[in-house]
Amino acid sequence: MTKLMEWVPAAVIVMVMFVVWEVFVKLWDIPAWLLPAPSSVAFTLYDSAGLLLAHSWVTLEEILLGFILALIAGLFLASVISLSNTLEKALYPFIVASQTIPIIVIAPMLLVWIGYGLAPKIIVVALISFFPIVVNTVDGMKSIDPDMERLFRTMGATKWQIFLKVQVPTSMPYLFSGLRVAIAVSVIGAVIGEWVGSSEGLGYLMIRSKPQFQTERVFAAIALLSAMGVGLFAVVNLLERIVIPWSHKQKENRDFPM
Amino acid sequence: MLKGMDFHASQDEIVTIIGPSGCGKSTLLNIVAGLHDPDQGEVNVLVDGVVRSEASSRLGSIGYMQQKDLLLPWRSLIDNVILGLEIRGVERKRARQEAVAQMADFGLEGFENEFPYALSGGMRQRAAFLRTMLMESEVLLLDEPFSALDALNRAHLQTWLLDILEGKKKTTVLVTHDVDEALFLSDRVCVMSPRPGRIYEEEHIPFERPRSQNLLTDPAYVQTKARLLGYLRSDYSLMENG
Repeated sequence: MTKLMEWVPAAVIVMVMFVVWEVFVKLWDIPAWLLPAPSSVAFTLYDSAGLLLAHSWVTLEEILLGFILALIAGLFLASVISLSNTLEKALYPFIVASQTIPIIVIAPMLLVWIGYGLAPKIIVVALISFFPIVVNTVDGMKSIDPDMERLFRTMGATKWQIFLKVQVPTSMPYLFSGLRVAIAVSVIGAVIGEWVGSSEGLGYLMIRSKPQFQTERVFAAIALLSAMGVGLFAVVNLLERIVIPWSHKQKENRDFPM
Repeated sequence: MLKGMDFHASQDEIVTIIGPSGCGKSTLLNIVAGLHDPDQGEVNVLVDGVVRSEASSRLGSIGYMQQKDLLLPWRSLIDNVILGLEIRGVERKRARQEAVAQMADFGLEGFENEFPYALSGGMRQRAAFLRTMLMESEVLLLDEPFSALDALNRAHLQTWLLDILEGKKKTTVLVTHDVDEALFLSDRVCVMSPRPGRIYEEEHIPFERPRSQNLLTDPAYVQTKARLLGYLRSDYSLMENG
C-alpha cells in the first residue's frame, strides 16, 4: 500500500499537466499538426498500436544490444584500468575524449563505414552508454577500504585475489548507479542512430511522421520512448536488488546498535 | 615514525604496546605483519620454525586483526570467517567444516548464514577474531581490537579473549591506548614515546591466569596501573620538552 502511495505525487503531476495541456489546446483551438492534445495522442497510440509496437520493438532491440555491448566493454575497461596504473594513464584520456566528440557527428560516419541496419545503431548506443559504466565502476573499484586491502595482504592474498574478492563486489553498487544513467542515455542513443539513417524504429517513425504533419504520431512515439526509458530504469533497479541484495539491506541497517 | 625501536615477544606471551596516538604503534604492527620493510634495522619473526626477516615472507603467516571488523557485507558470517583459508587455497567445503567446529567457542553458533549487517558489534568483532584464528598463525597482532565497542561489551570480550588464547601457545602482540585493557590482558606492557616512537618503559604484569574482571579492584593492580599512568604522563612532558 505505502509502495503504491509513493507514486501518487508523480501521477498527480502528470494528470494535472495533461489536463492543462488538453484545456490549452482545446480553448485556443490549436491545430493538431502544431500541438496535438493528449487525448488525440492517446487515440493515436490506440489506433496505430500495431505500427507503433513494430517500430518500438526495433528500437528496444537496439537499446538492449547496445546496452549489453556497453556493459561488457565497460566492465572490461574498468577492470583493466583498476588493475594497472599504466593502462589507466594510457586509456582514461581516450575514454574521456570519446565523449567530447558529438555523437551526432559519429553516427553518420558509422553509416558510411558500416552501412544501414542494426549494427551502427548498436554502436551509437554503446558509445554513449559505456562512459557512465566505466567511470562509476572504476570509482567503485578504487573505493575499497585501505584497511581491507591490508587485511587481505596480511592473509597472503595476491593482487588478483584482492581484485576478485574485494574490488569487484565493492564496485557493484557503483556499477548499478552507472547502469541507471547508461540505460537512460541509451534510449537517446538509439533514436539518434535511427535519425541519421534507418528504415525502422521509433526514431525513424518520428522523422517520417513530422514532414507529413502527423504530429500526433511523433508525440505517440515520444510517449513510448519515455515509457521504455522508465521501464528499463525500473528493470535495472530490480536487477540491482536481485544481484546485490546486501547493498540495499546494509543501507537499511546502517544504524544497527552495537 | 619509529626510531631506536627494540621490541621482542615470545611464545605463549601476550605483550601490549601502549602509547599516545600517533606514536607509531600501528606502524610497528604493519612492519611486523610484513606489510612493509623498515627503512632501517631488522625484523625477525619465527613462524612455523622459519625465521622470516623479509617482509613479504611474513605475509600470510601472521594473524593481524584490526580495529574495524572488516567483514565483507556480501558474504555470510561463515563465508567471512573462512576468508583466510580460502585465500590460502583450502577448499571451501573443508574450510566451512573447520569454521563450524569453532563457532560455538566464539559465541556464533546458529548465526553461520547471517550477513554482517544483521549482527551486533560484539558478534562482528568475534567473527573477525575467528577469521584471524582460523589462519592458525603462531603470531597474532591485535590492533585495538575492542576500541569500537562500548565498555560492557569490551570487558566481556577481554575476558573471553583470555579464555580463547589460554593454552594455545600463541605469541600475541596487542596495541591499545586503554591502560586497563593493557593490564588486564597482558604478561608484559611496553610503553611507547611520542613520535619518533620507541619503547622507553616495560612493566611485567605478574597476575595469575585465568584472570577475571575482579582483578580491576585488586590493590596490586591499582598500584601497577598508577605506575603505568605515571609513565604515560612523563611521556607527555617528554613531548612538551621537545
